[in-house]
Order: sequence, then C-alpha cells, then structure tokens
Amino acid sequence: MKTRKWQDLITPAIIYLVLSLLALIVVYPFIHVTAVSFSGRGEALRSGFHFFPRDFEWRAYRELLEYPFIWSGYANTVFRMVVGTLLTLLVTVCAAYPLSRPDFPMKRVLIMLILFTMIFDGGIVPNYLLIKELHLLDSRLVYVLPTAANAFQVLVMLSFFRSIPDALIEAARIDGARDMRILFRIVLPLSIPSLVTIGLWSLVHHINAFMDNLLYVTDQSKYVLQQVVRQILIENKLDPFTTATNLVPPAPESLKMASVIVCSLPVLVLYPFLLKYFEKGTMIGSVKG
Amino acid sequence: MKTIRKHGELLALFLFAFAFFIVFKYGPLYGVVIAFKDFKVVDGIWGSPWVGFQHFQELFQSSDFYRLLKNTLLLNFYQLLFAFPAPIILAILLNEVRSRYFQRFIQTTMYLPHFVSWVIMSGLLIYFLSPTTGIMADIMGWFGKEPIFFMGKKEYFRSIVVGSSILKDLGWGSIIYFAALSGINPEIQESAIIDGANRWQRIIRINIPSIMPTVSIMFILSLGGFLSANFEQIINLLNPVTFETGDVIDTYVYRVGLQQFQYSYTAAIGLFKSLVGLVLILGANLTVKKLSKGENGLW
Repeated sequence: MKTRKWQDLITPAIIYLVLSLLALIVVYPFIHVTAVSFSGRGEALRSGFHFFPRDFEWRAYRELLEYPFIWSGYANTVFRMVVGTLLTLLVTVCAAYPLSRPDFPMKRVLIMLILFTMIFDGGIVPNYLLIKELHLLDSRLVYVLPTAANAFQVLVMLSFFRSIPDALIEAARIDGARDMRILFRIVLPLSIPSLVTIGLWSLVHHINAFMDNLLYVTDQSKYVLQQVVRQILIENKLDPFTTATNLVPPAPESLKMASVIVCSLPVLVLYPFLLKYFEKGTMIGSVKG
Repeated sequence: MKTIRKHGELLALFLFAFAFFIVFKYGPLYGVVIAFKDFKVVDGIWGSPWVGFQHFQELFQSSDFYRLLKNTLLLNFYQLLFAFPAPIILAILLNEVRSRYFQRFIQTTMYLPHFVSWVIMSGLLIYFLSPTTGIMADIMGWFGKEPIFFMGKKEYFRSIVVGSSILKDLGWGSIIYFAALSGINPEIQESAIIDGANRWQRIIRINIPSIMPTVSIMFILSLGGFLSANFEQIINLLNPVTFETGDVIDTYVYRVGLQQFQYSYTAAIGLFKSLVGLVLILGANLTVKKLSKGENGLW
C-alpha cells in the first residue's frame, strides 16, 4: 500500500515536469529572440541565455525598417495572403459545389481526376518549365495561381457540402431558385465554418511559403517576406547594407532577431483564430481524408 | 445538349475551377517528357530530340544517385523511427494530466512551432547551435565539453533534421491521438482502477490498444511520402559541407537542374521519385483498406 502511494505521486510529478520542460523548449526561443532584438550591441553579441533586453534600444528595428526589401516583402506577402486566399476559396467552392450535386455528369471521373493530382507530382523541373512557358517567371501571379488548385481542400469542402440536407436545396429549387442563387443564398451561408477553416489553411500557407519564390522569382523587389528574411537570417545579406549606411552598425544578431520578430508577427496575430479553427479542421482532414 | 442546359451554371463554375487543375497540375506532365529527351531551351520541349532511356541509364550508373537515394531513405527512416512516435507519446502523457488548465496551456504552446515557417525555424536552429553565438555552446560548457560546429559537421545533419521536425510538429501531430484517447469510454478506465490496475498497466493495456487503429492508419499514410523529404526544411539547413549526408533528391534537382541547367537529367530523377511515390501511396492505401476491411483508406 505504501509503495502505491509513493508511485501515485511520483508519476504525475514526472509527467508534469517533462511537459513543462517541453513547453519551456518551445517558449524560450521567443523570449531569447525578443531580448536580443532589443539589446545593445555588446549584450547582443554575448553568447548564452538571454531572458530580457539589456541596454535597451530600438536601433535594430529602425535599421531593419530602413531596408527597402522588408517593406516590399511585406507588401508581396500581404498580396499573396489576400489574393491567394480569396482565389483558393473561389476555386475550391467552384470545384466542390457542382461535384456535390448528385445529378452532376461524370462526377466520379472528375473527382478521381482531382484526387490524382494529390498523389502524383510532375517534379521540380517540369513545373519550372510550365511556369516558364506560361511567362509567369518573375511575376507575382506565380504566388497565387498554382496554389489555387488544391485537391485536398476540394475534398474537404466536398464532404462538407454533401452533409447539407438535400431537402433544403430541393425546396429552394421548387420555389424556382436557380443553382447560383441556391449556392449564394443557402449553401455558402451554411458553410462559413468550413470556409473559415480552409481560408486559414490557405493564409498560413501563404504567410510561410517561399519555395515558389526561390524557384521562380529572381527580381528582389518581388520577393516575399520569408525569402527576404531568409537572406538576412541564413545567407547573412543584410550586413553590407547596414555597414554602408552606418558607422557603428547594430549587432548583426540584433538585426537577425528583429527580422525574426517582424517575420513572425502575422502568424502571432492570427494565432488565436488558428487555435480556434484548426483543431477541428485537422480532425475533418485526417478522419475523412 | 440537355445536360448543358440543365446544369449550365454549375458546368461554368466547375470548368472555371477545373481549368486551374488542368493547367497547373496536369500541365507539368507535358514537361515530364523531357526526361526522355535531350532538352535544349532553344529547341523547346517538343523540338528537342528523343533519347529514350539514356538519362535513366546514366542516372543508375552515377554515384550521385545512390548517395541521394541513401540520404533520402535514411532520413525518412529516422523520421519514421523518432518523429512518428513522438506525438503519440506526448498525447499519452497529456492524457494523464488531470488539470484541464495545464493541459490547455501545454497544447497552446506546443502547437505554435507548427505555424512558424521553416525559414525562421532553421535560422534560429543555426543561431542556437552556433559555436560562437549559440546557447548550445554554453550548455556544453556546463558539462565541460568543447563547443561543436554542429551545422558544419556532416555526421550531425540527420539528427538536426529529425530533431527539428519533432520540435515543429510534436504538438500538432498529437491532436489526432489526443482526440482518440479522449474517446475512450471512462467506464473501462474506472473498472480497471477497481480491479487494481496502476497507471502504467492502464496505459499499456487500455490506452495504447484503443488508439492502435489511428496509429496504424497514420503510420501507413506516412509511408506514402517515403521518398519525399521536406524541401523547405532541408534547403535551409543544408550547406556544401553537409551534402554528403544531407543532400536529398529535391535539393539536388533544384541545384543541378535549375541552377546548372541540366534539365533533362534532373527531370529523370524527379520522375523516378514521383513514380516510386505513387506506387508507395497506392500500396499504402491498399494496405489500409485491407486492414480496416474496406472502411478506411483515402479512396
């Protein structure tokens, strides 16, 4: 009996400890990054743990915001978030709604054709050649057009549309409503939770994507935020700019950490919404496939 | 004619959307033929001469190919071995926590890295692991060890990739298992407690068997992507020193194909990868269907 009690205390204690440690590993980098981004040169260059800024200064941010490609990067990222997400939603609804109607011709074949794009990919080179043939290289449209065709999202939307009772749609049809009217007046208002989930999926994709930028866009004024920050953070390309404009530049570490903050801001702002809708969304996606 | 009149509006909607799939998803299939041609930009895709399987023969004879294949397979094998079970363990631990508040706090924190881009993740990883600025050097100093330049050593590359994958998707991946665990009938747990089962016995005899269907489906599905490593992750962590262990099919195709213009040769590698991936996912789906007697599976 005595050993049982001892065990009953020690196991939960270990579990709480392990989980807290994991949370600390995830949270600490954010604290460190914020602290270093606001720290003075000497402090930022010091190695080791940083919990709060010392010799507080804004200089890294001021310097960073003077860098023109941060602004164009933000503009391009916001462009692809807004236009890309709207286009994705439009294409997803336009593909899924007709396929959800029981009497739509060749439904099975068309669904299979869309599904196939999920499991077979031409590869990097054929995709590049296609974008080249379409004259989309070095164009901002390359960020929003190809991602609009997303088979997985069509399937999720399709399974939601199918769950809307047929009687509702039939009733509207008997009252003389046509397909478009039914879609806008009945089906879409009922689908708002699914539309929000898919819209947020798309937003997160567009905030974080940089592969299309890396492959297809070489004009720096058309770079997205991630690619601009990638150059600062990983390829160390901001240093020449700051040393050219400044006799005593801020520490490169502060600049890098400031770029991390500037770059993660959109996700952090969206995070509460993401939490609310994504957990359910993952369940739809993984259970229904 | 009758169907067009009856479904006119719907057909128009559908064709608009389907055009995107035709152009951007089926369009590249046309470019795949250059794997069987000697592609020259001036001659275009169609005008370049056919060479049959020459590129594939070259491929299977080159040592590069076996290095890429080995790296891709090993990396995926380690991912499956370590990154796959991690979220299951987290879900089981989380399920043992009584305080809803603490549970929620852990979930909210652990989901965050999933939404952070690989640029940020990799950049911070490089920064924290650096021997001069990083905290890893300090931690090693506590144990009296010399700092190591982790990013510049080929023997650490795979561990870094697998470790960062775990960190990024540990919390996110646990959602589905946590939901499965919450679905277990509490009466089963209660009667086990009355019968004198302790916590570990309950986890091993009740919790793990109850989530096994979910685990096996997720496992087989993850086999489907066995030949595709995460390009966005690896391209940011890779540098010429770590090519030997870290270069995978996609990073090689990007570097040699697009930057050194060997389009046909790398298109052949890409096609090889796509075909193997297709076979794997079809096989995986078939297995899921067999295991669940036709209930599960993607289609």
